[in-house]
Parts: sequence; C-alpha cells; structure tokens
Amino acid sequence: MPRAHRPLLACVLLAAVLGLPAGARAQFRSYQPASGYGYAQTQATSAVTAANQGFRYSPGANGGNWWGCSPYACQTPMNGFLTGAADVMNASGQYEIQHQQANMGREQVKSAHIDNRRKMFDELAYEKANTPPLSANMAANFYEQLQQARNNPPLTEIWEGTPLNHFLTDIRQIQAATGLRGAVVPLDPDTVKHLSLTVGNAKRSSTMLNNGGKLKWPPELDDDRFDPSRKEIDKLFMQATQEAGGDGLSGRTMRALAAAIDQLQDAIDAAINDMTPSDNIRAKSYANQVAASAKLLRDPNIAKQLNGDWAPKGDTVAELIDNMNKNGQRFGPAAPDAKPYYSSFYLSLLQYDLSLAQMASRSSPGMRQ
Amino acid sequence: MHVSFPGPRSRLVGCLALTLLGLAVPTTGAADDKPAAKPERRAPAAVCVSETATLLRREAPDKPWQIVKENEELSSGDRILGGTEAAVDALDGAVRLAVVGDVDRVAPLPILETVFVLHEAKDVDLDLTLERGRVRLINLKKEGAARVRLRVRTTEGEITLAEPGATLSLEIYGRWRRGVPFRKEPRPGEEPGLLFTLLAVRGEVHVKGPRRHLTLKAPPGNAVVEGDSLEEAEPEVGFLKELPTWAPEHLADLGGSDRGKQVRATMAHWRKLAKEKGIVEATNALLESDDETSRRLAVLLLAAMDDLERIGEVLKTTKQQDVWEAAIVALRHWIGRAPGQDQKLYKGLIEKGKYPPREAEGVLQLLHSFGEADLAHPETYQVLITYLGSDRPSLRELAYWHLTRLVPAGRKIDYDPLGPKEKRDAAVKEWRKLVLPAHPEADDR
Repeated sequence: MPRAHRPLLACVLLAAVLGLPAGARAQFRSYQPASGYGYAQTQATSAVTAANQGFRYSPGANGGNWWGCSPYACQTPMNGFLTGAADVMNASGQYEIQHQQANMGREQVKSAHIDNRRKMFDELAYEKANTPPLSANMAANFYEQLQQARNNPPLTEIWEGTPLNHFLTDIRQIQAATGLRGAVVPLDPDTVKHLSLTVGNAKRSSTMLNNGGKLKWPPELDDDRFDPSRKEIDKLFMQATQEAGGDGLSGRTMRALAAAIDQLQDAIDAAINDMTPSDNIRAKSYANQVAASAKLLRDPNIAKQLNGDWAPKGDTVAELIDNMNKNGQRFGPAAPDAKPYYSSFYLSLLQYDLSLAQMASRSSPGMRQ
Repeated sequence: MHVSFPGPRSRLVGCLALTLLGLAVPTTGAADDKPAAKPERRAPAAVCVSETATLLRREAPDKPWQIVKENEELSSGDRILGGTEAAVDALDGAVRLAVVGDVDRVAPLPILETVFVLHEAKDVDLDLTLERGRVRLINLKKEGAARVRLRVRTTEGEITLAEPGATLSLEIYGRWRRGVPFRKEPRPGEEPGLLFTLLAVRGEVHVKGPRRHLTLKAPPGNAVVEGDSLEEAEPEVGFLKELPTWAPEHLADLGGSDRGKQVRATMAHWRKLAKEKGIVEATNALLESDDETSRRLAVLLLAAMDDLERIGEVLKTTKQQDVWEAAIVALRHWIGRAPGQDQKLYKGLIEKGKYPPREAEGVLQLLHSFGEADLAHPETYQVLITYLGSDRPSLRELAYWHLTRLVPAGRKIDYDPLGPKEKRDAAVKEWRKLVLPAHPEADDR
C-alpha cells in the first residue's frame, strides 16, 4: 500500500469502527473546532483545536502541501478525521461523566428524601413519646375534679350527687389498688335512708321509692285545691310500687298514675296567682319528682330497689360503699326533702375519702393524694 | 372597675369591713324613719350653689318635697335629694359637695339618685350623712386641708382633703344580694349589702376610721377603695395609673354620651317646669310625655321621693311597657336602700295598694333576685313562664323582667305583658319551647 494512503485508510477504518457515516469526512473539511459543540475538551485536543481556529479549507490557497496548510497548524483530512474521532470520544466521555453526575445528583436527592423521612419519623416518635396518652389525660382530669369536690363545691352540685360520685370513684380505685379501708366514719340511719342510689346513668332520685310507695307531701301541696289529685296519686303510686316490686308495673296503673300527675301539675299552674313564687316552685319541684319516680318504676331493675336489695345500707361509710360495690351503684340526685341529708353526708364521705387517700399515700408514696 | 358580689358573710365581719374605713354597717331598721335619740336642731349647714331645682329638700318624711333655690341656705336635718349637676358649699366655703349621678351609665355602681342629710358642722368644714348615691367632695380652700365628717347610716368617720383642690369621689349603693329571699319577718343576718367606692380624683385624701386610716392619692397612685359590707375580706386600696372614664377630673366631661345628653336635657326641662308649676305638675308632665326617657325619669323621680302610691296609680293605668320596667328597677333600688325597706313595701302594697297578701308577697319575692340554687332548678323557669300567663299584670311584668335577663334570647318572642290575652298565651307557648327543652327532666311527664 502506498505510504500516502495509510493515514487515509486508518481514518476510513476508524470511521468504520466508530460508525461514522461517509459524510463525516466532509464535515472535516468545514470543521470549525471552536464553534457549536459546546463540550468540554481535553487539554490534548484543546491545543489542536485552538491552533485550528478560523480555518477555511482552500486547496492550494496557502501554497503548502496539497492540503493548503502548514503541517503544524492545519487540519488535514487525516488530522481532521483523527480530531473528529477524538472529539467524538471526548463527547462520549463527557456524556458519561455528565450522566454519572446526573446519577449522582439523583442519588443525592434520594438520600435527601430518605433523610427527610427519617427526620419525620424521628419527629413523630418524639411527639408520641412526649404526648401523654388518653388515659393520662383522663386521670389528670379526674384528679382535678376530685380536688374541686374536696374544696367546698357548690351546694347545688352536692345535691346533684356529682362530688359524691367523684369520691366514690376515688375510693373504689384506691381500694382496688391497695385493699385499704379508710377511717371508721359512722352514718346516721336517717341520712342513709335519704340517699338516692342509681345504676348506670339514671339522673332521677329514687328516695321516693324507699318508703314502700308512701309519699310525703310538702306543705305547699297541702291544700284543698290539690286534695283530689293528691289522693289519687297516693293510691296509684302505692299500687304502682307494689306492682313494680312484684310481677312488674301494669300499663293501666302506669297510665292512670301519669294522668293523675298531669292533673296535679295543671292544678298547680292554675293556682299560680294564689301561691307565692317560692311556694309554686316547691310545689312544682315535688310534682316533677313524683313524675320522675313514677318513671323509675318502669325500670325492670326497680324491683331490687323496692324489695330492699338496692336500698342504701350501712352503718359506716365503708359499709355503705361495700354494699354499693356489690350492686354497681352510684349516687343519684337528692330528692327535695333529702338535700340537708346530702349536705351532711358529703362531709362524712369527704372525711372517709381523705383518710383513705392519706393511708394510701403512706403505704404507696407514689400514689397521688 | 368591677365590684364583686361574693357569698353572704357574717354581719360581724361585715361590720369590721366598713368600720375600718370609718364607715358603719347599720343595725336593722330603715334609714328614713328611724327615730333619732334627740331631734337635731335646725341650723344652717350649707348653701346651694347650683341652679334652682337641681336639689329638692324635705324637712321630715311626712312633709312634702320642696325645690331648693340657687344660693338658698340649707338647714341641718333636712333630707336633700339630687340627680346630677347639683352642688352645695360649706358655710365657710371650704368644701364643695357636688352631686354627680351617672347619666352616662358608666359608674361601677348603678346609682340612680343621691340623697344626703346635712348636719351642723362643728370642728369640721362640712358634716353630712350620705344615704345613697354619688358625690364629690372638693377642697375649695386656697391653702390648707379641708375636713368633712361623713356618716353612713349610724356611725361616722372623717375625711381630710389634704390640699387645695383635693377631691374625693364617693358612692354608696344598697342592694339585696342574689338568692336572699323576701321574708315577711326579717331574719338576723339577712339584709341588703352596702357597696361603696372611694376614689381620689385629685390630690391626697385621708380617710380616718376608728381602727384604720387610709391615704388615697390621685392617679397615678393608690387611689381607689371599693368594698361590700357583706364581704369578709378587708377592702384593699387599689393602684390606678390614670383616672377611670367614669370619674374624669372635670365634671363637665361627664354627660357627653347620647344617653347622658338626653337625660340632662330631660332634667333641665323638668327643672324648668318645676320652677314654673311645682314638683308634682312637672313630674306628671314627664309621666304623660310621648318620650320614653321622660317617662322613665319620672318614675325614678317618684321612687326617689318615696312616692310609691303615685307609682302604683300610674302602673294601674299605663299602657307603656317602659313605665313598668322603670318601676321595677326603681322598686328594686328602693327595697335595697336599707334593712326593712322590703317589709315596708309589702305592707304598703296590702294597706294602700289593696293587694291580696299572697300577691304582695309574690311581688316582693320577685323584686328580689334568684340565687344560683334557684336557677339550677328548671321549676324556677317553669313558674316564671307560667306567670307570663297570669291575669295579674304585676306578676306578668316581674316574671318577664326576670326571664328576659335570664334568657336574653326570649326578647325576640313577641310577648307584651300589657297586650291582649290571646297573644300573651301564644307567646307563653313560644317561651316554653325556648326555655324548657334545655331542662328535659322538668317537662318529662
């Protein structure tokens, strides 16, 4: 092979290897190394490309060899081929570099995502660790209510039974946890008789039922105009109580009693001008209480109260609570005539609760008083 | 400036609280007709320096009220009544007593009228018994302190206005505490409380009692004391950075609200009529006016002058709801003035008003305020609503007065206590729907 053709052959072969189209040769003729490509160049090629800035092929124009340029600063076809190939390789390399850089960036983003998720997780774990559970909130709330119950609550609340039930809950919790018994606090039998006990969420007083169905009318209703209603209610209430304590309250008795109570309420309203407001309020209050007690008689469990099983019993606070625990009872609201007894009982129950709490805190120092 | 109304306390402690201020808690008995140990000698005590008819005076409970003329000399022992914009000067010119009132309705205590009795000043520049209301004591001297002997009900203390211009604002108001019921026979320990506020408006003021000596300094300073005779705790002196809006330094700054201007204009009109035609005619003119403010002021004036019979007559015939409302407010103030006032009204309703005793008792019960224990019971509301349907206007009006304050949403119900029965009955049903569902157990039949 002639020596002059070897470089040319090399270029062709190289072009073939690189898969460059034949037309690639042509671009070497119009190659503008400093323009258009935008790729970073290696130092090896940058000197060559710098040297070839502004080249325009003009055969014979420079009077040198038949390429028309000096062998040191001129892009011959062979040179151009090699330069081009080098550029391609360079571009390829750059592409790889950038591709990897992009990959690295992507990984960095992923890493940042992971970091953020870890931080979020840590934050949630922190919040969870520092948020008291619902049970703790409820315990704190109950403790606050207990303190209020211990510190001179309003009489209206005592008559509703609210502080008494707070003490009851506290006493039951302490006894369940420690088995302790509080101080011996005696109870007056009359006070015990006037306590109203309920099961569940019943909000009505049951003391009217403690007397075997015999109602004790207030002076405000001891008047001729109320006599007919009063006598009818006396009879029907007694009958209803007996039925409820036996086979169950009959529908007829229930309806007749409700009608009699309605009549009484109407009579009280009709007497509005002839009674003072305070008398009227007391009369209405008693009538409402009778109506509420009549409704209690419909409760299927009321027989237990009527036959004495569920009546409040105990010579001391501790005994009373033991009996209430057996029946799952709580304190209900006071009947109008039972309010003074509730006020007195509150003090007894407070005394017991405090004594028990103190004993518990001595035996278990961590237990809150 | 809020005056608290705590629960009832023992009279002994109540006595202590006021005695420490040199003021007194009364024993039972109304202020007006309590027989004095010795009748007071009538002697010149002060001079009226405000316009004619800004003050009225009465020599005795059974004597008529008379207009005080400008520059008229006032005698000791006379009961002096003022509303606002009135003033008297001590005879030596050292102290001015200005009747301030509360036309703008901004004062801490709900003052209506001011009443005081002057006494012959011995060793002091001015000597007076303040029965109720709001006054300012001002040192008019060019130099030195001015001294005032102040009596409240039966005991006394001394006020020293330490420097020229020193000014003390003083207000006293008697009221039945919520939850204290009316009783035909008063019980020991149950009496209206006496609320008071003392404020140094300018300069330094010393208040001296048998056990305690207080110094008040105008703001910024320890300027104010307020208390309740039924309060257990000793009244504390309070620090103020500046004067409260209800007590500006200059009295001319009061009365600038719309209400204030209206009231002042009405009072000016009344004064003009009173000068021309007399107190009774002037008051009747206001009562018959088409203007609500005039009618209300007329009723309050009648109560201030203790003319309850006239109030009763007006209420029998009036078609104006505002007259009834003003009468209820006036009568609540009247029975709160002093112990025994509500028993007097009870007897007056039966003897003069010919009320059945039960109804009279009902009226007095409803002139007292319900306590928390009463309001916790749905029956209280039931009964009040039932009273809305009563055929007795007094009970309807009083029940309505209470209900609209306890359940303000009820004002939207078209109920007129003076309206026709059918409309009233329909409105009663609306009231039941509004109030009683909140207490299901009450109507749980």
